[in-house]
Amino acid sequence: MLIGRAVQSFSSALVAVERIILMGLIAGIACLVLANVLSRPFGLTIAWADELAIYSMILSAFVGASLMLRARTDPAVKLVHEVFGPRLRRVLFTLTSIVSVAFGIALMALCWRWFAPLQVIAAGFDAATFEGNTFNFIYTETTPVMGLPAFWFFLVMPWFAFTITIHALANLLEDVALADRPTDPARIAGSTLEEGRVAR
Amino acid sequence: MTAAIFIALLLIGVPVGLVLSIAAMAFIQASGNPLLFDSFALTMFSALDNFGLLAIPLFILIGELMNSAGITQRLVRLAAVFVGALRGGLAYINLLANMLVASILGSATAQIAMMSQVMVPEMERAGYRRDFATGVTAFGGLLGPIIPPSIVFVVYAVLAQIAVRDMLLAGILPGILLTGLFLGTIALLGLTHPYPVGERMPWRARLIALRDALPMLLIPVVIIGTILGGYGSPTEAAALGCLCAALIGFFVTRTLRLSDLPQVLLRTGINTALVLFLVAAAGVFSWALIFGEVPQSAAAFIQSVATSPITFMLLVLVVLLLVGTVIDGIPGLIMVVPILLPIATDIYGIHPVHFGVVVSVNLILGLLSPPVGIGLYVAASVAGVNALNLFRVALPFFGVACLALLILVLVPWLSLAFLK
Repeated sequence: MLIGRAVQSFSSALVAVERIILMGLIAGIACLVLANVLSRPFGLTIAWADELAIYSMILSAFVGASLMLRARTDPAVKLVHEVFGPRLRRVLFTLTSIVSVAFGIALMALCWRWFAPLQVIAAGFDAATFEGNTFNFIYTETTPVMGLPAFWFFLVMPWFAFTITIHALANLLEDVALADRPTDPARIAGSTLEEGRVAR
Repeated sequence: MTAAIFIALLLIGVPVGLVLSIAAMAFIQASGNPLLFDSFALTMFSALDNFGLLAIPLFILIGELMNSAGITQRLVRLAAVFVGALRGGLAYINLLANMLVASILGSATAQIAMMSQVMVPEMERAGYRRDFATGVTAFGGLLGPIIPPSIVFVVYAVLAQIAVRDMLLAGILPGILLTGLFLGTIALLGLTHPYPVGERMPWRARLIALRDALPMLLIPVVIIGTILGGYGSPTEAAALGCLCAALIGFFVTRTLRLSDLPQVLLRTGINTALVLFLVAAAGVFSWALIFGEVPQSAAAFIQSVATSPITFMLLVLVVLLLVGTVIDGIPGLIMVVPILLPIATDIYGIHPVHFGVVVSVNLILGLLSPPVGIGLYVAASVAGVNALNLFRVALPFFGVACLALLILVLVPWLSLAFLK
């Protein structure tokens, strides 16, 4: 029970952070695109605004997807869930959580390969040596317009892998009754339904 | 083996985005080229690096802002201005109001949820059966993702790598066709069903309704005008639409408050992620499919069955209606487009915009077909009726929508009329 509550608390803390990030990113997208459109009649083009808006959108997709996984509102085929009773449904939820945890861990492993922190240390934090050793150009790639190092934005991938692992683990511990499931764990109640959601 | 994993994961209820990503991992493992794993996360990230996709959060934001701004009643009153004392008057008003709302919202389920709350009680008060009222509203809601703006069409345009503008404008005539067919269905049904006769609106009330609804119409005028007039991209049109929606909510209807904004932004973020995570997963999935040579195998099989573009399209309709019984809307689109689109364009010479309209409308129709049509369940739960009963009552509309689909297959011009 203790481990269940600990993971749940950690997941709740992540939810609080993710909610704030998500609201900020969406507000940012609207303001950036609008700033560009409204400044055009005055002969101004803010080239970096569109690029930053796109990156904000990409970040929002992964942050929001993580919250959805915790809330279990992401699109899934729930046909079998509806046919069977609550006991088997619980088994299906448990299996789903196990698969989700496994995916989170696999994605973390792939991000580890991609960011290759050990090789960075081995190369003495020298990008040229690192690239020569690994043919991995992640640390010198820059965004086309702003010219910022792209890896700052790529960091959303390991962050996403980490948060979905924690959220899926919290879901799993609730499925196996090691913790009680709160009514709205990601605090996103009231979201309008979209096409994405396949079943009830 | 990969296909078996794919189906098993799907059936146990693993989120579709994760299923696609895991299937991609399995494909890479099976292809014997583990080096591809190094690009896995980057491919997912890059699948979203597209200016056209920016229209999606902005279109969703318009809907969320308008949801708080109470537009529906005003648009219903506007629709009533154009409908006189006809038999089934309120049913016509329902469809026309749905058409107007569709020019502001881009999603069927959001529209069905919003319209059911207003139209079903109103029609019931006027003497209509509740299940019929809900059926008309649900099918009217299908216009949401067909008449621009449309989130489904933006996703298709990005998957097919065609201009978002072309795809959005391609929805105008099919949307009008579908509205016309639905109106005709009510007229035909009215011959055998004694629907209540609508009330004639006094001229003064008509003028007030027009005055109240005019600011709302600014949103579709800005969105479609910006795109059609070439003043800006769909993304920019969507941003201007957001500005209009916010201004209307704050200063005209005065139903939007600053304190509502955090919730509006959060809901927009969640609904955006719902669509975009699927697009990211589709990016990595279709990338892996190419290495697994799946499109080639599917093409060889389909070529042996379908001999002409029309037979191919009809085959696609049947397959999608089957696919649509378990998976619909955007997830369905994301699964079938990477496989079917190259076959449609390269082998049968079908225009990608025409193909997109047919496939999207088909999958949108799946939103209202049992057993899993989410639109059906949303309407049923909002209105408090049985979902299967609702489908049975609305069956004539489903038949007419299938007819519209057939017309769209046979008359490509309906999808391509606004193409530059």
